[in-house]
This record gives sequence, C-alpha cells and structure tokens, in this order.
Amino acid sequence: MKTLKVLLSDPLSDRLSSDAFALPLKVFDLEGSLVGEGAASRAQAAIFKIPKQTDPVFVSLTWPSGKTQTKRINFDGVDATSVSFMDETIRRDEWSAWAVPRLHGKSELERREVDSAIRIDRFDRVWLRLWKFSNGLWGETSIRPIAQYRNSLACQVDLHLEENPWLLQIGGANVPWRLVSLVGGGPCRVLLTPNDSKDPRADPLKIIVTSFRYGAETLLEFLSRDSMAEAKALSQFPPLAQRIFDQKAEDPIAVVAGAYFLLRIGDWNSISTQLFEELADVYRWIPDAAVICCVVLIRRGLRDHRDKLHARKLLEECIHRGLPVFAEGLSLMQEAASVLRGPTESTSEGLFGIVQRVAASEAWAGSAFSFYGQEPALPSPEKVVGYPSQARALKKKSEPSISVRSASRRRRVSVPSMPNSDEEPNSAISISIDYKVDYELPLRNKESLLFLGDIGNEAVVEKLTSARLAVVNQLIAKQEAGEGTNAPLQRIHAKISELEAKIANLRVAEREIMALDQVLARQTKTTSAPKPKQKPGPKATPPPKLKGESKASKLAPPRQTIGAAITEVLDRYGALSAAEITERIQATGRDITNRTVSFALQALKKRGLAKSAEGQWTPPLSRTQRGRSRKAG
Amino acid sequence: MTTLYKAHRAPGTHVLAIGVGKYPHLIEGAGPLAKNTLGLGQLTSPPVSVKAFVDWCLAPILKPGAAGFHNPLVPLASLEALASSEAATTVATPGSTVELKAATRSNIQHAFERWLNRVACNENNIGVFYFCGHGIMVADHYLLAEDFGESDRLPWDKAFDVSNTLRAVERDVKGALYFFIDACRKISIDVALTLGANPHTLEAIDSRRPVICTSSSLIRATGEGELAFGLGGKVSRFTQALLTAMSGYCGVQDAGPPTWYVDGEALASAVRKLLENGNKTPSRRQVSSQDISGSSVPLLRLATAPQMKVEIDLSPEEKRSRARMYVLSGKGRRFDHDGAKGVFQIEVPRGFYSVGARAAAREFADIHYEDQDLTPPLFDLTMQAQ
Repeated sequence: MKTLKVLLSDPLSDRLSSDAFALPLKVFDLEGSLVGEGAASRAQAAIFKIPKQTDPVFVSLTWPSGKTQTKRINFDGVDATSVSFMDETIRRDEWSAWAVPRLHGKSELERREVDSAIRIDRFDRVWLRLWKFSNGLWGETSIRPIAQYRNSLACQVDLHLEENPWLLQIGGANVPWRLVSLVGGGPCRVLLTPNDSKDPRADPLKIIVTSFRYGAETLLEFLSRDSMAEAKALSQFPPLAQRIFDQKAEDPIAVVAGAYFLLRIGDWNSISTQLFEELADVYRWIPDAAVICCVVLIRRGLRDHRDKLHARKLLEECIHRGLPVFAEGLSLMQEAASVLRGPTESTSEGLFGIVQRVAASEAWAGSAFSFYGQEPALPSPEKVVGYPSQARALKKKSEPSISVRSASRRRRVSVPSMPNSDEEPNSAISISIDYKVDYELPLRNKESLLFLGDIGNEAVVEKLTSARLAVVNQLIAKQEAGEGTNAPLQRIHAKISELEAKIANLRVAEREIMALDQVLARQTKTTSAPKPKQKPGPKATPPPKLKGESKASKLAPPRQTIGAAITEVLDRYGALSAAEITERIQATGRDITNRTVSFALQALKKRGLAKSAEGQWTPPLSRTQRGRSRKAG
Repeated sequence: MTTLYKAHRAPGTHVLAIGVGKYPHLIEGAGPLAKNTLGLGQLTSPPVSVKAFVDWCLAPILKPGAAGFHNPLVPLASLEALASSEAATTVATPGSTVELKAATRSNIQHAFERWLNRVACNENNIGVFYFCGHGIMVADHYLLAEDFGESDRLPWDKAFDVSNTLRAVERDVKGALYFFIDACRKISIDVALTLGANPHTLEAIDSRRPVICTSSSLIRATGEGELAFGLGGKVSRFTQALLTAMSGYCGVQDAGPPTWYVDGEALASAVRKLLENGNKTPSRRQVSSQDISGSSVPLLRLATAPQMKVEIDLSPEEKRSRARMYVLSGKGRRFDHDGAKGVFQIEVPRGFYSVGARAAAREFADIHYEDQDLTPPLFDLTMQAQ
C-alpha cells in the first residue's frame, strides 16, 4: 500500500486557526471509484492508504456549500506523497474568508475581481435590528458592533453577546422581514451578501452567522444540507469528536451540535438525557438542550403519563426560554409537538400552535434557525417588507390580483397566471389568499436600527443618520398636523389607553395574589417574606420545616441555583477541586453529578464569579479576602 | 385491484404508489363542488406519473435486463398501486394487465395498511411510498385523496398528513423507508394563518413505542412553499427526474465488490441536479428538497458504474460551429464532436476526464480542461472561446 497525506493550509485565515475546523475529503481512482474517505485540518492531516496499483488518484475536498475542489496525485513510483489544499483563492478579503465555504459554489465573494451587478450597496437601506430574550420576553436592543467590515459584495459586523437567546432581524423595501438566531455568550459575527441563488425560495440577501465554533458549525452546515456522508466523515475527525461528543467537553454549544448530529444519524440512544437535562438547567440561554432531551425521551418511547408530562415540560421549556439556536432544533420541535399533542388538543393553539406557526414560517439561513415574521413573538408565513414603521405584505409580481374590499380589512385574492403554458402545478394553491392587515407598528426604538449602508462606511453613517432624522421629522410634522384618520400620534394614544387598561387589570390581579400569598404564608406558619431576586453568591437558605400537610406544603420551596450552591461552598471552604465541590454540595442532600458542577463552574468562570488554577477552583476575590487586604494595608 | 405484484422474499422491497389526478369535488370536477376548493382543480400528470413509476418497478421482472428496480439483496417483494383519473389507468403485471383502483381516502388507507404490514415483517425490508397529486404545506405536509372536499363539514377528512404518517411508521419499521412525494408544498396563507387544517395520519403515532427505523429518506418534489410541475398528460418533472436518477444515473461505490449503491443522499442529490437542469423557464423553477436521517441503506444496488449525461457547449456560437470538441477519459478513451452539429451531448461512465475544443483553422486558442470530475448525473459546461 502507498500512503497519501492531505492537509489544509492557510496560515492567514482565522477560520483555519481552530484545530477542530476540518473539511471532508474523498479519494477516487481514475474511474471514480471511492478509494478512501476522511477529514483534514490545518493541524491534523488525513492519511489514506492507497492500493499499490492505483495511480493516479484524485483527492476531492468538499465545502459545506457543496462545492468541491479536486487535485490529481501522481505517485510516480514513490510509496508516499502529500498534498495540501490552499484556500487562497477564496480570500478576496481576509475578514470574509470564513463565510465563503458556506456560500453558493459560484459566489463572487470568493473571487479577487468583481464583475457583478449585484453589489451590496444596492441594499444600503436594508435595516437590521437585534432582539434579546430576557425575563421571558423578547425585547429590542441596540446593535453595538465591536467591528465592522465592508467591500463591494458584502458587509459584516462583529458583536459580543451576553448569555441570552438572540435574534437578528433583517428587512427592507424589497427584503422580507426575517429573523435569524445568533449564539449568545460570546463573540458573534454576521455577514450579509446579495444572494445569487436561483432557488425560488431564496431571499434577496444571504445572512451567514458564526460564533467562531468553526468545527461544530461546519458539521451542522453539512447536516442542514443533508450531506450525511460528509457530516459522518467530519464527526470522526478526532479534535472535533472530542469537542462535540466528550461529555466533559467545556463548550455547551459544541455538545449541542454533537447531539443534533447523533439524532440525525439515528444514534440518539448514545445521548445522555441526564447530561442534556443538566445542560438545560445550567445553560438556560441555550433552549436547544431542552428540545434535544425531549426528543431523545420521545424516541425511546414514553412509557406512561409521567414520561409524557416530562417530555412536554421540556418542549415548553425550549419555547419559554426563547427559540432554538440551530435550524435542527425546529425539526425536533415539530417532531416533539406531533407526538405529544393529544387527540383532543388543537394544533392551532397553545404550545402546539406556537410550534406550528414557527414551523410554517421557517426561513433558510444554513444551520442557523431562521423564520419570517414581524417580531420574534409573531412568526408568520406571510412575508412582509418595508421599514419597521411601514410594513406591508410582500406581493408577488407574477401574480395579478383581484382586490375584494371588506369593512374591516382588505382581502386580496391572487390568481397565479398560467398563460401559454401547458405545465400544470400539482398545486395546493392556485388561489392564495392573503390578508392585508394593518401592519403599521409604532415607530419605536428607531435608534436601535442599523442600516446596511452604515456598516463599515463612516461617510454613509453621517449621511444616513441625517436622512433618518429627516424621515422622523416628517413623521413628527404629520403627527402635529394630525394628517389622516390613521395619524401615528392618534394610534399611539389609543395604544397607551389600551395598555393603561391592561396595567390596571394587572394591578388588581397583583393585589389579589399578594393577599392570597399572605393567607398561604399564615397557613404554613412560615414567616419569611418574599425575598428579593437572588444574586450569585448568597448563602443557601434551608427550606422551612413544615408541620403537617397543607395546601401550601405542596408548593415546592424556591430551589437554590447550582451556581449559588457552588459559590456558597467556595466562600465557605476556599480552593477546591470540582469533585470536592460536588461532594460538599451532595453532603447538603442535593442530588448532583460531577458533570453538572463542571458545567456550572465553566459558566461561573465566564461570568468572572469563579476562577481555576491547577485543578482548584476559588472565588475571584471574596469579601473576607478583600477585608483582610484592607486591614493588612 | 391494488396489489399488482407479490413474491415471498425476505428481506424484500415493498412499494406503495399513488397517483391522484381526478378530484370530483374540486374545480372542473364531475361531482358536487366543495365549499372551499382552495382554488385547486384537475390534474392529468399524476396518473401518467404513477404508471411510469410502477412500470419502472416491474420492468426487470417483465423483461429481465430492462432498466428498472434492481437490488439483488433486497429485491422487489410487493407492489401496491392506486390511481385516480378520468380514463382507467392500466398496468402490465407478470400475471395480466390490471386496472388500478381509485385513490380514494379509504382505498389509500387499506393499501397503506397492507403495505405497512409487509414492510414491518422483516427488519431488513425496505418500504417505498410514492405519491403524486395535490399537496399542501402548513407546518406539516398534507396530501389530498381523490374524494377531498366530499364533505363541507369535514373538508380535511379525505386528506392525510404524510409528515406525521412517516413519524408513525418509524415506530413500526426497523428497516429503511423511502418516501417520494411529488406534490406541491405551496403554503396556503389561508390555511397557515388560521391553522385550521388537521388531517389524520394514515397511522396514529403511538408515543409509547420507540423509534426503531434504521434509515429514512423523504424526497419531495419541491421546496417548502413552492409548486411542483408536470406537463399536462405527461410524467411530472419530479417523477421523470427520479426515474432517470434511479435508472443508472447516480450511485456511490463503496469498498468491497464492484457494486454501486443508490441511497437516499445520492438519490436526492441526483434528482435535485436533474430538476435544476430542467429549470429553463424561470417562472416554473422547481427545486426538490429532502430530509435524510439514519444510516445509509441503499435502495438500489447496481452492478455497473453510473452513467453521466455530458453536455458541452462553446461560446460564442459562431465559433462553436468551427470547433472540434472532445472528451478524453483518464484511461485514454476519446470522444470527438463536430461543433457544427450543435452542442456536444454524450453519455459516459462516471470518472475523471479531460474536455476541450480546438478550432479547425486556429480561429481561437485551444481550450483544455484537465481532470474534470464527472459526477453523476450531469456535467454541463460552456467553454469560452478567446
């Protein structure tokens, strides 16, 4: 046998600096018969054993987009040779190189010379806004890029996101509003480029996101395109396998990616539900962990009502904590909803209604979860375009429409034209009915919008800010003049009245609940008043000992978080190993595993609430230590 | 009659094929018009398509050596088929010529149950489910039987949810499942916004039972929210692409004896490329989609290397007429073509080739592309003459 060694090589690209980033390879003989399969990175070569008589061979490297690069290898009588794949051809600009393997194989972003008429500046008026999920609600937040880049074909922003679920929304006069999930808890990069795909579903702009986990993300990109052979080859690449399958792995996002892969290849029985329940418990900002656990339970079979309730709770958790980060999560949500829905339960309401609506609104953003809608809480298959204050339904130009007016809303019946064509669609819809509802949202948080023209272009920033101010001033002038029956000011007043009425109702409910709480507190003879929100590090309060059974006794006492328990142990005992911390917590009667503690310690470390050195964990600087320092000084 | 072929083979491949073109309760149908037709009418392509699919399955049995279903390890063991059309759909079977029964919801249910019982009886069996007709996509994919719209009170009673049917079957069948759905997935805004549709599955999902299916491949004629097309009275574009792909235009050779496997991934990729090649009319673009999961279980095992449809052009056209084009295999086999005769179209086995063109009287510089990976099913290249 002869030996062939294959490496990736590109020292300038940060994409390749990750040791887990690899690309799948296939080796063929002259007739296209498969000689070997594997994966290689910059740091770790793929080694292929080639039969003596096979010469030449062809090595083919596959990008997540499906594009392949092939090289001919002539052994010429030697027993070993090597080849490396340089990706210098894909680097028009260093900052955009990471995204090229995920783009269409003929993307102009990979070329040095640009001859396209589709330049990014055609989309300068396209807007972005950022949504953060916090305290059970989605809210708009300002986009504060830490770096911006631009060339004639793409623009890019780098963000640093807290540990929350995030959605980036995009929209414009001709760009349907859609939302794309971003990975929180660290740096995140978003690249936008015109979409040259001929797929009828394609949106005008392509959004590619990364959280700099190139290895795990590449695996998910292959999965999102159903390239199972390539995904399997990658999953066996040792540095990546270590990150995604090792249960002691430190990165929860990589572990989630690994679980998605196992679910797809049918090896879901090897997924530890305990691990994922713990992940869901510790990393509440990664809703994917809950739905992964839910589907593993479902696929194993729900033996009784208790199992079913547990699986349902996990699905609810996924939805109540935001939405999955990855597109794979949506298909799992659908699977879970279809199995868990009872025969009398509606598909259009409650938990299952939410899943149905999100699934019907799904958009494509590779491995990232994406859907169409006006807001995170309002996913809709009906696409809208326009500016946030002037949304309107997207109208397909090829479909002439007949307008039917009604008192409350306009109903448009569109009849697809099929003139001079003998092709018939096996159609579900020859007539699609869309409802022109009042999409106008109040012009709010206008400062939170980021226009594509602003990205990486200081001159444009100044110009567009002025332009936006002019638009706002026009609106204010109209409001002051009270133009039209739908003047924004009048609508805002009406909305304020409506919200005030709701607040009044909530106040009544609040008073009733507080009164009820006091009654229950007297019944259970616990005198402690409701505590303020716990901050990391307080000492655990043992649950009150209750005498006798009462209604209140059935209510579970507030459970101390794992992070708080760890902080308490560290404060009390000083430097400890993870195993010792587990033992101390177990000694308080809490059922907890080393893995859970390990995950929680990593989370605390990221937040600066714990530090580690030589296997020992300590609090960053305790109050007592600080006190001692002052005394010493 | 719905059972067209049955043989005692274990493991075996069991096929259920359904084509619905006649919808009496939809626009221009013969029966009472449904209260809400969803704008849907009659189709002529599905009965022809289902017949083409069934003929392809039976071809090697009726005429040994003919192109058709070929898997020596998991041979064809049964074939159920239903078709709804104005004129009767007949199929030649090993016994006689058979007229297919109508694809009503009730007939579909009975045929499905027979098919499922057969597929589930051996853990290495393969189940193939083919449907061509009207479809609608909300969150899941719903397919319409012939009698859809019969009842205004229960309009969805005569449809079925294929997405959840597959999820149910995955708990019954340990072997491999192939679902080919040749129907539109256009999202009805009407239905999607109200989410009122909730048709039954062909089998209820029993949540107490674990998923046991080894491999499942769902290949759909079109992407979410899009239309599937077919020439009136002819085989639909998706079915044509599917049958072409399965007739020796895709496959992957694995280690071991020289056998080319066609699994869900290879098939989905080939169908997509063939459909894309047929997207000549921009307004009728069709892009297939797929969901592949589990391990790779080949549907077909072919003894010969897959063929490639090669199409080489030279631009500008006036220079092509003076060009001599060629395809040269890695083993030295050469195919020449006179550009004056038009585009160079040829079929060659999968492999690595050099392609190029030379001008008869040096009107343009020689063009030569070395080591082109000709991966099935298509190789389409337009060379630029300088």
